[in-house]
Amino acid sequence: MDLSLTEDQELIKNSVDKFILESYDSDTRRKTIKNNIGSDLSVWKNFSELGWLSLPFSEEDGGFGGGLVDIMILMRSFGRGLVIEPFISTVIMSGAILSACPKGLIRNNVIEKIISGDAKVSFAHSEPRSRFNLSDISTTASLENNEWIINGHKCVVFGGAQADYILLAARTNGDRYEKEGISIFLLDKNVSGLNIQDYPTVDGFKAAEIHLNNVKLPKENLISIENKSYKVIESAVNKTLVAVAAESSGIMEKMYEMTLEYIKTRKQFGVAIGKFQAIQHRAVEMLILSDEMNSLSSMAALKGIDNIAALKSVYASKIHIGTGGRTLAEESIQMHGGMGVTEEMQIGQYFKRLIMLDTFLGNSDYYLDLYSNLD
Amino acid sequence: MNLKFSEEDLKFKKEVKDFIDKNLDKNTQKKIDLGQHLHKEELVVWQKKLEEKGWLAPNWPKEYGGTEWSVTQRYIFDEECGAASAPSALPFGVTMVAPVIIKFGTKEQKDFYLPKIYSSEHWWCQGYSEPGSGSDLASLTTKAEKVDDGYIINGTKTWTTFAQHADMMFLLVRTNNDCKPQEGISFMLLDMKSPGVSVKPIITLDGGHEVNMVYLENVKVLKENLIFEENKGWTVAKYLLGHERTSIAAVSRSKKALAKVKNIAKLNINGDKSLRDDNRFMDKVTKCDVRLQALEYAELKGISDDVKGIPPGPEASMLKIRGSEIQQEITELVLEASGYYAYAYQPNVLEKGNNEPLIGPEWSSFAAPKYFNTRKTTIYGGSNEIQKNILAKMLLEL
Repeated sequence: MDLSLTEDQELIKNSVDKFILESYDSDTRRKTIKNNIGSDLSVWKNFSELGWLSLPFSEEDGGFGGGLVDIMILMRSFGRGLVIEPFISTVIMSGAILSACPKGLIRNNVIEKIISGDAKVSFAHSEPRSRFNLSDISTTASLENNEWIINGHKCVVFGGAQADYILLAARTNGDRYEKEGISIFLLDKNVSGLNIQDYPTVDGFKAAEIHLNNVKLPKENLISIENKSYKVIESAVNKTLVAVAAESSGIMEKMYEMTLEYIKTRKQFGVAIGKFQAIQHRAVEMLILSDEMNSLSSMAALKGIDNIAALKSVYASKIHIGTGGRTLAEESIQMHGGMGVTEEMQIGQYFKRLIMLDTFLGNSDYYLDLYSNLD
Repeated sequence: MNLKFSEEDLKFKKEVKDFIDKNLDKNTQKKIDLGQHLHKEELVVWQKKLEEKGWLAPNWPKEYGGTEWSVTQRYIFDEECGAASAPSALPFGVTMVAPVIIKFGTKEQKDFYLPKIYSSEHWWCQGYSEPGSGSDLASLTTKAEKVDDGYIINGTKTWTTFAQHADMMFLLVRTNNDCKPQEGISFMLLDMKSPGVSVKPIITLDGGHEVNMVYLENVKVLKENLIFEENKGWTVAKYLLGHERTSIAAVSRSKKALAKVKNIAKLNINGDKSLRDDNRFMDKVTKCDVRLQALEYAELKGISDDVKGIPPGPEASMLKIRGSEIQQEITELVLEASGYYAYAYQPNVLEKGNNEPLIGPEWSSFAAPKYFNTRKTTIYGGSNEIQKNILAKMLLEL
């Protein structure tokens, strides 16, 4: 056993940390939030040049062949830097879906374009009433005259309007809720019948409602194995959870540090407020919560997603975002006092992201259920 | 002991309810319901309705427009306003500076200011906190230098709600440095149009603009605008803080908000199931309801004491602590219930003339901004840490 980083892993960490320190400040982030494309193209180009867009893809697919630990290292630093690029939606989530689909012209071409930084991809999965249930899919795809006809409504698709391609989960067979009968399609976002409603998210990203009204697709745009994609989706979600836990761990670490700095410098009643024991104990509690997130996220990345013990670690890390993470987030705002609720202070930006990461891919209540059912 | 209202009180309750039903603008009601900020105009419309009815300033003396309601009637009125999601009259005028003017002001000050507050002609803001003086308010450094006919003020005030619309500010300034901090503070009234006043918005986490920084550079305040005596401002401020703290429990508004959560929990938003089938969620709702019941009783007890003439003690701090926590818990529940739709950020979707389509159900449209914004309740009005200090010192004698 050795829980220190390998040389290669150190290299990844150093390169991300260096990039964030030198080229990713809060102004860059704020500008990206305000633009319509949900990305800073020069930043994205840098990501590609630094090899990060290729990180999870296999060498066979032209990628770096990185594992979950590599992703964890990168995402933890992204969390600390509060990076707002559509990295999770394009590289982690869509990347995992595409990687798990059988090789083919369409799939390979999209992966190539992701790696080169020429295409962004969104995974359209959830529907207005599906909440967090991955198999609750009512969007239908039926084959008529060698063409797929797709109808449905996908909600809160991250980066949906800015993506060049959309990966879509639709039902090719079976009833709503059934795991059997789900397939994955690749859509060019200019295809007719697609109505995309773009909007900002409360944590600075972009999302879209996607309505599909008799969208027609060539037969080969079903890129998964027909009717057998539930496992692919589930496994992509679990991989993404590892990334999300790592991002949360970076965010929590940073929030703890910023709060510690604040209570050391903010003076009331003639002393730094960090001199008060009531504040000290709470700051120590924040340190422990952040440390727990770090542990859980590391454990999840190391164990992977392929067996029950591994899944427990993954779910545990996701649960902690909504429990310990929320406590830490709320405490950090409280200790910043009025300054904590201003848009201007960075702490609030981290707060919003961390709070919303609880909802992303299922909140802590949802994973408490899944976890208890594993035992 | 009994919890019953008299026949007369019940009649009054109905009268209030009917009045609100008839006069409250539906869009204003919806905005409050969903946790949206109101514009000045929307508040003025409601204040004008209350003014016409003679209900704007229940706590004032009759000669200036007070209603001479009993304590119970005042409670009923607040309760009904909360239950119907009616706005409160902007507190800085009617419920904050006015009682101060009534208690400490000269006849001239009363005759000049009270009618203008009553008619919504004067819109007030509060100049207390400063960048370096939040919880430790007595350390404030905004300086008032004495000149022939008044004072010259220099300093910065912050967290000033609605300063961007205000005609007047009541503020605390330092008039003496050579004494205990509390003994060198004066309470003054300042015309916001005076030369040297500038207002800079502070945007909060939800993207809203409620609060401001107010810079005061060589601003002249005439001596007629000093309230009570020079260096006795702390006495005035303490009197006023008592007014702010009792209303901060927000029981009726929380009851309304929690009832809404229970209705949301009946909707089929989880496949063909509702959140009522989700014990984890429902336990949180119920636990919140339990605390709210305790808070309601504590508030009623305070009112009952008030009727008996027993003065409010430091117990008000308990109401503030729990009341603010419950408000936050309820916004957390709505956020959790919203699922993915909590992500959609549409700050202007309810504004008149806005045509953007609503994303997701209406009830979830401000779930996250409301949750973000409600973090302030445990910070403002004396942070909960300060309330605990007060209780530890005054009640526990530690």
